[in-house]
Amino acid sequence: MNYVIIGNSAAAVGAIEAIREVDTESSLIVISAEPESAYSRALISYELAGWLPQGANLELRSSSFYKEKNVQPMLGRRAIGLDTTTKVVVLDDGEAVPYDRLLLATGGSPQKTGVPGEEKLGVFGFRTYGDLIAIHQAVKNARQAVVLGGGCIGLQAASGLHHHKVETTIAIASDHPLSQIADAECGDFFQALFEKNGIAVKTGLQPVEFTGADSVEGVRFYDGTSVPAQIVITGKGVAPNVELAQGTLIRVDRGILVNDHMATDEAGIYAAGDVAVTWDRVACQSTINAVWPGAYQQGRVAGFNMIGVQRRYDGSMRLNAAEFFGVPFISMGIVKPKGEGYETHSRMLKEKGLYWKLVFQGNLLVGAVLMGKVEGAGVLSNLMRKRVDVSTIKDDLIAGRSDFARVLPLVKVQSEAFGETEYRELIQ
Amino acid sequence: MRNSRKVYARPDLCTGCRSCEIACAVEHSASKELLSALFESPPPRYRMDVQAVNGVKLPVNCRHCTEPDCLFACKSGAISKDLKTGEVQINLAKCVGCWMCVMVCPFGAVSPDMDRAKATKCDLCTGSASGPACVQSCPTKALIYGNADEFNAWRQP
Repeated sequence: MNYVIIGNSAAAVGAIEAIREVDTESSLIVISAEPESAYSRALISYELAGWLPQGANLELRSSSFYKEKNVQPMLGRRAIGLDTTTKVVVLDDGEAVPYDRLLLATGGSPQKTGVPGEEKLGVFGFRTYGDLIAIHQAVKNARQAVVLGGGCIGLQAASGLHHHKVETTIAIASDHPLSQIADAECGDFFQALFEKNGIAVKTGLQPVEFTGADSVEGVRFYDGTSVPAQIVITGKGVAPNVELAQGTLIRVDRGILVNDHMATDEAGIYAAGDVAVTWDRVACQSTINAVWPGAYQQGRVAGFNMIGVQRRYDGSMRLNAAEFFGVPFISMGIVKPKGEGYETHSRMLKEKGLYWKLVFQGNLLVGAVLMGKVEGAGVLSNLMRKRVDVSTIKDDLIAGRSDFARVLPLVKVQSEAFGETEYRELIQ
Repeated sequence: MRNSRKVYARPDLCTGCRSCEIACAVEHSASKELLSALFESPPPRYRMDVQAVNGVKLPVNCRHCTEPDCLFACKSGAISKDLKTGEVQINLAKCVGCWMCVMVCPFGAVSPDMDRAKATKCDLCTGSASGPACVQSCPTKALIYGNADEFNAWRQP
């Protein structure tokens, strides 16, 4: 049996580790256009900001990982074609790699801004190790930078540039940072925090042009203002890399559609990670939840199914964690509910740097934002993921009490939702 | 992994005295002495949390899960599971304090240590010859360090 994985990040590593838990012998090939061994693209912002522990690098697994896992890495090789009749992956140099089971863990690429001048030198996405190295070079000669986008990536990129003494402006189309995943109250807190730390934040601003000749010299905005910049980082989200699915039976609706075994419509082909459309258990809709824990778990489920061990993926949920200037921030599930039937509770203690918000839908907890104090966040995310009736502990949760012991009565009563051994050990 | 060992608790024997929390903090202090540990800065962290709700005392620490969500969520590659011993461990030299593990642990058993920018949880006192300090310290023997069979035999009335 030939197992082939295209991609080399969280989903790929999840699949490799699952496959090798069961089958240590069969041929397992990893193909990636990026030349580096598996690294954490989620931590390039930490590296830029100087937040990695001394001596640590971005390696996701040890340097002997491929050897230990008996994996044949084909790195720096781009898969450009997929022939599902002859079952081969075609690489950019023409080599054909045969597969019996194939995992598409191709991830996503930074969304183009569509702004004229995007191709100029000094305009970067912020997703790959290559981007990181290029930005490290660029900060040496740059005085000013503009970061487009006020999501986690944008804010972290700005922190990184600021760390390198580049005068940085964050330009956000919406009216506060983190607008997709937090309320204005919370976003405004972070805006003030960034400004206090010397990073300008401009809201409600759409770029219309990246100015300059070959190299970018600034960003011109819709309102006629301009900000000079020798570096521009665009953090406008990620588009799934679905090219290989074209011309096959694999259904694509923005991302690749899979069933709960992470299998596509094409026999023997699976998809996982930022390229895959999954069922969001909390929002109850099909979507791409491009988050690390989901990617790894989807890869793991795909890997098991590829080797014939039946596993079901129980669905994804949105999970974001970050820290800005020492203030931790977690946002999960539905935090800006639209429509009827939601109940929200929130509290801001600005002087203490604390904020939390819970969103309920009937007896279900469906969303939470925690700022300043994130202890116990996993208890909440687990209640969301398991969709358990929290009515008996709702008051505790609203009061900010979410230690596991409060959940224990639910474990006893709703035992079908808490079937794992670890829960059975805790009840008498 | 049938033989993997971890710390198990019997809430019916727990009086909520929190000796285990103190023993845990001391074991994970720089000095490993109670008196000196009290004055350490940053203070040592305990990874065993005795939670009391409605009269029930529940010592909660890392369950070293079969399917560890913390490991699946770990962006830095700091968390690993030993498939032979079942132990889930955090390599602090790699942990960047991104709080992904904190966000997904169903038991709230991974804590953010903001002083050190590291995720913190029960490490089963690796390297200590006498085993987990919490178990040693418990005056009512409400904690054991053992495998699932030993635990099940122990908790049968």
